[in-house]
Amino acid sequence: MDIVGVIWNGLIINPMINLLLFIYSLIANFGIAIILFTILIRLITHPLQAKQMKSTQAMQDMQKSKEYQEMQKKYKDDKQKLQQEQMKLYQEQGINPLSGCLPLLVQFPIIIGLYQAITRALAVTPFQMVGLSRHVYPFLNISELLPINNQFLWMDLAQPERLYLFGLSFGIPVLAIVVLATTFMQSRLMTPPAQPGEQGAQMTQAMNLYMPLFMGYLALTLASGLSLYFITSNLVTIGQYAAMGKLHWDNLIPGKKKASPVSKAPQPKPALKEPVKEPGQGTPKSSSKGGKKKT
Amino acid sequence: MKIKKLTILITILAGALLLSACAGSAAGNLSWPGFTTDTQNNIAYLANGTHVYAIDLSSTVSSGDAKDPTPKYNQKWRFPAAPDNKVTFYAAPVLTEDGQLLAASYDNQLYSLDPNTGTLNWTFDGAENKLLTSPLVNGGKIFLPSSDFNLYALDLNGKLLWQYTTGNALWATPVSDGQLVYQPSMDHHIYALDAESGDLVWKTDDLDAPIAGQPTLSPEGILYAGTFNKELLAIDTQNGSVLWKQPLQGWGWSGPVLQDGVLYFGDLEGYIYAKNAADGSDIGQPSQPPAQSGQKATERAIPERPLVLDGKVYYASEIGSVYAADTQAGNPMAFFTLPGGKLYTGPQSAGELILIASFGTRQPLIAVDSTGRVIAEFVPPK
Repeated sequence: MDIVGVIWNGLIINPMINLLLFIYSLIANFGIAIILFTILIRLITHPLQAKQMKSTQAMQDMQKSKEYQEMQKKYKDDKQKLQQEQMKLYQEQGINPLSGCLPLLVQFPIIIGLYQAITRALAVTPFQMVGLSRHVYPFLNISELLPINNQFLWMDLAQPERLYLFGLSFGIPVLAIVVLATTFMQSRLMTPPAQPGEQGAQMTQAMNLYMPLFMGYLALTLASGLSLYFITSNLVTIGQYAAMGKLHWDNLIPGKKKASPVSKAPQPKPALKEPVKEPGQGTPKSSSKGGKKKT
Repeated sequence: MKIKKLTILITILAGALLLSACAGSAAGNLSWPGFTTDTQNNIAYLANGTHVYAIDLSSTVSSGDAKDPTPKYNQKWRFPAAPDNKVTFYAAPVLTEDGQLLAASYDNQLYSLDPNTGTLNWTFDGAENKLLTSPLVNGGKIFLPSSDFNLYALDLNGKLLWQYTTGNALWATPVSDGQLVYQPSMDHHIYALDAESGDLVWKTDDLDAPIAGQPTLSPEGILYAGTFNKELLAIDTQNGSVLWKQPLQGWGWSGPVLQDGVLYFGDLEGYIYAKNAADGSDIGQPSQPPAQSGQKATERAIPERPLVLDGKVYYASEIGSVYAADTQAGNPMAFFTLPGGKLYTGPQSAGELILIASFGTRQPLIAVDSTGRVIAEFVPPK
């Protein structure tokens, strides 16, 4: 192991599990503890999120600039030269192309850790409990708290959630539906309007379709404590974007298209990482239609 | 673009599988194997995941593989014949006085099997949550603890006689003196119930922590139990009062083995103890055997009770070793090590051999001699 395991547990998992259990010790309700814990962690990592959003915005603004687009046109057949010129432009404008990725990379282990902290604290079998015993700090008098009370509203937080109503022979997966809806809302609200013909837009559109389904499936099959985390996390993210004025409410209105600042450009350019087209290669059909409502 | 969409879809599906697997292992039905040995008939009954296996210990066959020369035990039968992931067994099966084999399952059901053939006699499906531990069979009754907070008393045909609801899940097998049944609960109490009626006779005060392992009942009527509060407790079965408590280095799980007035047990930090049963005082210093090269020093729990045999105490440790300590002098030494394996289940004797159940290896049952040499192993047929 396993130095990586020791570092992972020591820096991420153990602090998070103990923080979660500490919150639980204060309010004695694990459902609310999960919600507060998720909000707290997301607030702590908010500066990283904000930095990532600013970097992304700066990149987007630069890619919409006339200079950048002319450069794309000029060097469309010379990928190496294009990259050199792009780097020059980045330097001139003081933009680090990795600055948007680094905060994301830092956040990623925190999100995974948050997820693992919840699953590990919900120890419902002896094997899981033995595992939990290793993560608890001595100063936290965990033995008095255990076992965690997994009941929250109508849910057993360690089991997939279903709401059984009188007269129905099946349970309604309320949390899975809410997870699906909030994930959909989050992805729509956070996605800036696409430029016509932007190839990345199609990928984003696919993500916006698959991701809510994927999250809904997870919520349907995994412990409802995790669904609670997903919902809280989605709402907090929406709140973070709203606080920074970055929400795209128009995306939620069917059929309404928001004019893109460069939508009248004669020929929009592919995203930075898109391959340079060979001469004679046509633009995607979607671009000729002026871009799909997006995502 | 279709390729890109496909890539996204595959990435998401892979993510789903990964997350499901992570969550499955964290919140699913995994546990360590449990087994019991019928020394008269030379059969071991092993509960290990999707099956209960009857393993014939009377003979072995050669593997026929030069790279794997260890003789193999034969499977007599397994239940169910085809695996069903919803039906999993980890608690040690129990033989009854009238010739049944009881297997508690994580699918909430208790199965009564014919120990000779593995055919199903009956099931009890009255529990509403996992059966994490073995039932106790005593005085013609089956006492079945469940995670649904209830202790169920059944007759030997699986008919419910009474049930008693505690304040939380029951992870520990109870003990009984014939009159009373002593049932620890995760609600921090031990309950003394009348075996005939299920009436509460007494319950302890809050013991400050859950009790997950089966306590030990001495002939003098004292219960010994380890708790998550890093304590070993001695409790008077007359009234449930705590006679003494002694601190441990780690969480206590199973009750100790009582032999000649000495309590032998381990804790979840991997410490090994010998304590005086009269007052809990240490006989020698608690010791934590050192990890060997390649072993995870952070994972050395000893959750189950040791085996006392011929002046030695054998402790199975999560770290992958069985330690042998002298009953008089202590000094635990690695007696057997399973590379890459984890050991949680308490070892048992079978004639001249010691049986060891392993977790996460292809051979869930291993037989070693008194020197720790592997004599035979059981590999479940596919």
